[in-house]
Amino acid sequence: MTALALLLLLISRQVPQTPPQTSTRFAIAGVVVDAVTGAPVPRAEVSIFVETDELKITGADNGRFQFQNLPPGKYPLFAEAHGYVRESLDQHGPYATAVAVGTGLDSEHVVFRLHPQAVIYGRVSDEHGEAVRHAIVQLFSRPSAGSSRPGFGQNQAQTDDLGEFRFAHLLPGKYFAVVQAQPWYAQTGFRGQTDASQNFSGLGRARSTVDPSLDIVYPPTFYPGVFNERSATELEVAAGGQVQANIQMQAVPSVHVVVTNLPIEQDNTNGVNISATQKAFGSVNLGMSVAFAQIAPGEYEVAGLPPGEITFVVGAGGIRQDQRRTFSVNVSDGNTIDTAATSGPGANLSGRVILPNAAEHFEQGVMTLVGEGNRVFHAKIQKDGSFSFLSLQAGTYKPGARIPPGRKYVQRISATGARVQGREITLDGGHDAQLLVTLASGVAQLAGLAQLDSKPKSGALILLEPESRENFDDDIRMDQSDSDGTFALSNIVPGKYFLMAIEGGWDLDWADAAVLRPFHDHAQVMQIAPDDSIKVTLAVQRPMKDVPR
Amino acid sequence: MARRSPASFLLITLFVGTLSLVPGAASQTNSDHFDLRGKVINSVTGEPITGALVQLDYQHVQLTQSDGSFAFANLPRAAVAVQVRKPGFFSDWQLGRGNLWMWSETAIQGEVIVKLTPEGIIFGQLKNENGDPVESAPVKLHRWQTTNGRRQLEFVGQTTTSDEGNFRLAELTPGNYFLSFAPPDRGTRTAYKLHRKRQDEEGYGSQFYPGTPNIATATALPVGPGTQLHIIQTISRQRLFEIAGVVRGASPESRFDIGLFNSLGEPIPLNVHLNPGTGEFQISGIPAGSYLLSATLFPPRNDSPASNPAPLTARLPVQVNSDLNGLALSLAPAIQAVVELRDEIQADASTNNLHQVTVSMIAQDFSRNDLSITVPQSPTAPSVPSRLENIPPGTYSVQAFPNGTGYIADLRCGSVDLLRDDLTVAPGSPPAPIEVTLRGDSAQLTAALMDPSKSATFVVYSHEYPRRSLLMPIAYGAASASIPNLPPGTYQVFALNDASDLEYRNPAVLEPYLKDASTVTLQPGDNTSIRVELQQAAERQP
Repeated sequence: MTALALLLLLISRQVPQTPPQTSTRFAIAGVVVDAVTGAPVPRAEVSIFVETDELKITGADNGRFQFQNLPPGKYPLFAEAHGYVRESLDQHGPYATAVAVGTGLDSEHVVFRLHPQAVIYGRVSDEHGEAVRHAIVQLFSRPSAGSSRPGFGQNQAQTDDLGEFRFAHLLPGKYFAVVQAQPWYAQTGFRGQTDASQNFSGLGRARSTVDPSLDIVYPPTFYPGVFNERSATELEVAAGGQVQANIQMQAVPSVHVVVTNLPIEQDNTNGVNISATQKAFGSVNLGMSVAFAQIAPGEYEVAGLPPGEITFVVGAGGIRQDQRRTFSVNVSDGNTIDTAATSGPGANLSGRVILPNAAEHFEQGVMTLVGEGNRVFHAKIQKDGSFSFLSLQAGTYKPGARIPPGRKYVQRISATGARVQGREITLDGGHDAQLLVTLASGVAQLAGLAQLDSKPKSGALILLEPESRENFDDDIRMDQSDSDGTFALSNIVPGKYFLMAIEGGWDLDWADAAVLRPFHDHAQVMQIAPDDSIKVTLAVQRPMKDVPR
Repeated sequence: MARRSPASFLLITLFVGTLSLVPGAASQTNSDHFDLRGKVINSVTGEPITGALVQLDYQHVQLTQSDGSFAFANLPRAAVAVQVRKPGFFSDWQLGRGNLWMWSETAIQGEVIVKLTPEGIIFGQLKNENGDPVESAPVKLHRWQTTNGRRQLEFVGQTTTSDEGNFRLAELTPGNYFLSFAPPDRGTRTAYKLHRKRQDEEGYGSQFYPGTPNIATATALPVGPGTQLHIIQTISRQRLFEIAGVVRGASPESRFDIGLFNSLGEPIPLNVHLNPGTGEFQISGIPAGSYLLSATLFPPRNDSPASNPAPLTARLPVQVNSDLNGLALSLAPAIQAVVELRDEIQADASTNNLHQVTVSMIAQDFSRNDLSITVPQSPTAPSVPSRLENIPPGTYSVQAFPNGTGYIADLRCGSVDLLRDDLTVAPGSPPAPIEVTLRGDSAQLTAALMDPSKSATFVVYSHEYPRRSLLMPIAYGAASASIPNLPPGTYQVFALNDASDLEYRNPAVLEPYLKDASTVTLQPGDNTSIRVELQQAAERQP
């Protein structure tokens, strides 16, 4: 059952005010065990939601738990215990097995396998070996293959007075750690003659002519203490394991640059804003505190920067969004950056939406663009179907649209001035582009029963794989079968698909086409039409060879 | 820190830790420059502190050596102040003990010793009745503090227990702290239909060290300089109760919210079931304790954006020791108060033309609802009425501060003199307009000590309007201080060696000192000097 389905289930359930006769009350019972050793986990906290009330109980010393007096339905089950990952029953990313409760259903022999947690802990120290307090430590992870879409998860913690941090309840896997902090004794000043009334300091202490030996910063630092992510050491943690990651910060002289030709008027009384971020791992933005002050109208000194590739966003209150400048520069001390000469204000993307049914109109329609790092941009769709996005950074975006009534999906897109691949558009930022989006309505839904040897199979990976590989990321739909073998897929874009149920499928690298191909032979080939509502019984396949768990 | 009057705030720019002079070799001075040498040490152990930041001004900054020493050569002969800091330590100024220290190089005769006070730390572990660690539990600190001469329970800081139930609260200044533990916050869930209570619920409630639900019966933990307190706390499951009742005045088209606030004014997480049509509510998951039940109803918005109808509110104190039924709350329109400014300052080309006042209502009871407004809101439209909106019923201390020139000559609401008394706002009855009178004909007082002293603070107490009383610290080496912008009136002035934590608006606390205070009556425009005796501050209770 997916998290979304749970939400829809809660909203749509009709529960009578007076409960029906006593024979329709059921129980959920079972035992919580260690997923690695199989031994019972004593006193785990197990919870379910009954309508909106959370019912939480503490398991017995032998790991057994029981919920009684429940109306029929599907209940996602959560468990947590000291030393284990907090998870739902058979959780894989956003999917888990819900316990189906009702007549003829067995809900009293649940085995909840809790995975021992991984822990990463450590201490952040400065170049004198002293603790760095209030440093922000972030973990970026690549979870073990297959458990959900490979990508970057993120955890964040702050160091305490001992400079220590601790991340618990982690899924076993590989992690990178990044620390952002400022030397507590740093004194950032400005070299030029600055106009005090136009000062801003994110660092709180910027002044003019300060002792340069204290004009220092800590660049974002990767474990074990390097500035370059390519030299970073990956932290590998196994289930039940603990890994220590101590990081030493090294102060470097702060870089000062002069930014000229800012897009503001002479007598601009609105605050100018200059922000700086550094990219890590291709798509993560690490924000940083900088200080900036005006030297002359349109000319600012920016201090407190580390050297390296920095992305600046420069704007001012009161100026139009499309006049904000975004540019990336490899900064070293003393640079002068002419904002007018950089890559420009960002590209504007304008276009039109084509609806399948000409009689429909665009009222209240909203166009969305999902960019890198899952940033979402919105634009209103005008009455004639046109829209426009201002000042977008170069990058790849996925268009979507919300036009009531009913759900619509992007059938196809085409563009001038930008590259299109599948249903994604890539802007190069140097010039404006136009986009044509064809929408179609009539998403389909599918409900089914997964069976192994003619018996309902719970916890199987359900995959609806589009025949066209190009649309794999967009159109693939997944679920996990619940304890009664049932599953549901929704928001399906019409087309041709392979429907497969795979036991233990979560441990496969299912995003790899070669891995899925052997399962096509016994898959159900489906041609799904708009607005279809399909019911299916599906045989569960077993992977060909032994997959390490 | 005690709030200082605006003038003294401008003077306070540079500070030092506790300073003492070590007689020794005379410093080298020539006619224009001098050298400054010193050492930074731990005020408890006396050990040198390495890597402390010593700052004279923006050009003269150093980190201390491994022996705690610092040295600045060739300083221009002028007054200089020494600011010292390091994480994990507090200077006297940060502790509210320091006064304005102005050094003249003639005062330097040898090595300067600066003492920093090490931080206090409270750390430990939270477990449940089974001995298992409790994770993600909020751990909070509160202490009594004197703010603006008034003693209030203040929130100091909080942290959350780790997966092993551990917590650490550092950077504590010396004082007495109330440590409290709350169960992991599950948030409040609201369902829009009523339920039948299934079974008795058990769970965890908040508790204060050593193990009581109310702060009134809690024991404060004393933290001295460098103290590290290790606390292992157990919380046990307890019965959680349900209360039910009806909110009168609800209607199906409006959204209504209901919640409970504890004695610290914080909302607590709950399971709420309510029927918007009838106004019936059921709230479960409540640990035993004293709470304020509060309901708010938001009427449906009209199409005209200009006036959104004000919300209706209702409040009821409840003592929960068992399940409760039949509670009734009556919604009444939120109360507003008009605030009017009488600007009696003579227009004068030389004065700053900003004639604005900020009026605040500080809640004196349960909730933390403090309200503020600036009058007039727009300098270009001074006649547009200013209103404090959505005032929950309760008792308030009303305060007014000029944003620019002037002093508050009068502050009243109907017949209540707000400079003296609190304002009680009853449910459903809006108060009279709050009238603020601003005048410019203030007086200036210069107070001088009979004998110059190292560290002293003047206390200027007004018997007719205790809320006008204020503190004025004396610069080091100076013997007097000036207090500008005083409202005309009669004041009793005395000096204390240590006025930190003094409730200087409380006549009962000041009584022992007033006997030997100097009295002065100021007329509008006066510029008067008086001489004052130094008194020793009495021992204060935590």
